[in-house]
Amino acid sequence: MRKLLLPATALAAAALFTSAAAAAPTGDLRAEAMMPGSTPFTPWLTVLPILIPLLGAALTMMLRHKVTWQAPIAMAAVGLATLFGFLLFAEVAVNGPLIMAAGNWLPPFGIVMTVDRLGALFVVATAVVGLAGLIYARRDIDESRTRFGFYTFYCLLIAGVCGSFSTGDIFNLYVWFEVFLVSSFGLMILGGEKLQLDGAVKYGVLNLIATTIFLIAVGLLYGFTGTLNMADIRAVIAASDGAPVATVGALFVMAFAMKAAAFPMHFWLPASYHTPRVVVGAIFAGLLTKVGVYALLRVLVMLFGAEGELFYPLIGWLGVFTAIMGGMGALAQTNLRRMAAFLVVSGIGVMLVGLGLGSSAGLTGAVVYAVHSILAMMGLFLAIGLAERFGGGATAAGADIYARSSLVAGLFLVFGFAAAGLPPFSGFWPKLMLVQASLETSGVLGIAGVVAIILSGFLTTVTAGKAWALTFLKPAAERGPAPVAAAAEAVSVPRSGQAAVVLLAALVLLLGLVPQLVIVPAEEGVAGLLDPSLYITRVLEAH
Amino acid sequence: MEAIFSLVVGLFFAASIYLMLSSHLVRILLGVSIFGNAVNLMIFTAGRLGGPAPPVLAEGTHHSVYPEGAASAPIGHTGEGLVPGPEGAAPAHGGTLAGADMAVAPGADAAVPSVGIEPTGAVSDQMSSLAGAASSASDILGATANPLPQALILTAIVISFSIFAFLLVLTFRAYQSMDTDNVDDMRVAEVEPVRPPLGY
Repeated sequence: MRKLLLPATALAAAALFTSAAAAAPTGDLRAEAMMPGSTPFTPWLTVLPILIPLLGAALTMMLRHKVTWQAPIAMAAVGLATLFGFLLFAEVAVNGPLIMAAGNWLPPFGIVMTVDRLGALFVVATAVVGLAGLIYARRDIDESRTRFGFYTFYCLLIAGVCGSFSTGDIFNLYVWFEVFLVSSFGLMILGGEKLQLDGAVKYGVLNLIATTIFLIAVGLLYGFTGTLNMADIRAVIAASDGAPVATVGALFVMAFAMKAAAFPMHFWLPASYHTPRVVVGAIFAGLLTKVGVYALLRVLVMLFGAEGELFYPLIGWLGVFTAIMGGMGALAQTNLRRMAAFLVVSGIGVMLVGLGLGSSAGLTGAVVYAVHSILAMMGLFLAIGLAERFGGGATAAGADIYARSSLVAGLFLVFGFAAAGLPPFSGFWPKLMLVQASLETSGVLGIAGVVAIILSGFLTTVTAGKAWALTFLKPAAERGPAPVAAAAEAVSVPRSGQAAVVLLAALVLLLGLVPQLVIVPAEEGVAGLLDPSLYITRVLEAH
Repeated sequence: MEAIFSLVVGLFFAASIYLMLSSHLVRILLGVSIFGNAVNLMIFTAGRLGGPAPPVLAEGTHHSVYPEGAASAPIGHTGEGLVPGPEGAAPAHGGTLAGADMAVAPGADAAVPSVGIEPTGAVSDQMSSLAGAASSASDILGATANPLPQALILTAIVISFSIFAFLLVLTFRAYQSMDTDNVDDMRVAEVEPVRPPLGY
């Protein structure tokens, strides 16, 4: 049976790759509704970072009994996705937005995948942390979890997130949201412990409601624009007078703020992210909330244009409260993972402040911070995972991890300081840009933005310092094992896990030292959001 | 008709939100289920309730529905043609008037001659009368159903049904392991408020 399945998949894959060529035009009408001929290779780059993880998910699903094959298949799929992600990034950097029309139907009829500078930047970040997570997962995920489909869900999650960043169709964006939501459900409950079930109930119900609110907004938007294509929606809204943008926009803001865990809709995040395996919590913390921020940027700034400015002050204030409340929440925690979850929330607040400023500088700062946060939050969770292994599961005060592994203690400090925005790490530059952008903004929100960013940075520094001093540095006074025994334990911690975290730390440091790597594409991406004329031309005149 | 549908959608939303405010998971799930159905109905209404005819035209019909000159005009223009028309039929079918033709016509080309399905009975009558009477694109658009919301709803139904099934099982397992379906009592993942260390 299994032997039969493999050729079938190969056939299906082949059919998938040639279907564009098969739909050759035959009549006058078809020539005007469809693109002629087959699609050249370059536009395929838009979908390859999605397709390859999808194929990886299918393969790992079919070969689920071959436990040892799972990790290499997933690694190959995400690795190839990373490679094509970088190619896509380079192509978009040189030639501008790249589109691919599904089934060769010309926009705005069919679904278009459209990747601009912003989307490409996030696709690359997603693929890179996806790869780092897989390297860590190699030894962190046991056999039974592998058997129950960890790698399948993981590949689907990467595909869904990449799809969200690549699509040019608002309903398709909803579908990708559901793709990664469903796979995140699977990852969340993998193992089925009591703690996980409790977390998954809250995560599942609230995220489902958020996605459904998103769907309501999409339905209403379709009701008054008559189109689902993002470029077309922008053109319709710009041309229409007094479209009911306020209602639809409020629903979008509600849905994406829930997804991004903005105060006061953030409660599900610290209640659930610490419950699954640490690599799962890490990939959620790195990617999922940022998709919410990306969708806010895409919808409010690009789709709504000038009409979206109505919501900027609201989002700015949400950001101010989220940044401060997240920092204070993190300070109060005694569980390291819950502390990291609150730091994720705090970071979301900083991004929302940038979005709320609405200026080009503010938006750029938000995008750069989002990329930094993808790397740093992933790394922070994984460093905590390593610390738990060295501490034998305990990360309470006096776990004395520094004595057992100075590397892990150092890594935790790197990501803690990066999250706080201290130089020379990647968090410093976006925070500096955001403070600068806030100072340039007149009004109370500008001042509140400066206060929120600096205060959240201060709270994060104190939090990271406190956790480091108590958990990593403080020697176990009365009950600690001798250092010799600890060293023996340390041998059992796999090297590949540490390699993944070291890789992320190196990236965080690199982006701190050479921030142009992200700032330049972010600036161009934001310019494309604010003035999407090239994007619209590319999509609507794709002949 | 749209007004009645809007009222029904409103009722569905009210009922689902009332149920979701409960602290019992089963009621919350029922609320989620009704919430999904309310959204589906809403998308259906947002696409305008057109006529009963299927959006498939007989062979040759499309030539008569073409507005003069539209055949050579580039499609997907971002001009005034995109502004929703006063009758509300045009925007429901894909943006431009020319676009509406395109949304309808390729289906006719593909479905009728090549697959060989001959329309029968009432549908056939309607379609031939449609083809005869159609002098403009908006006539045809007013008489046919809008296929796009149906495709959207189909997608949404599949997704919401599968997630609902997942949540049902999750609730059952949570009930088994925590012995309660009251979310107020599900506090396993929340830490007990402990005093953080007050000194080094």
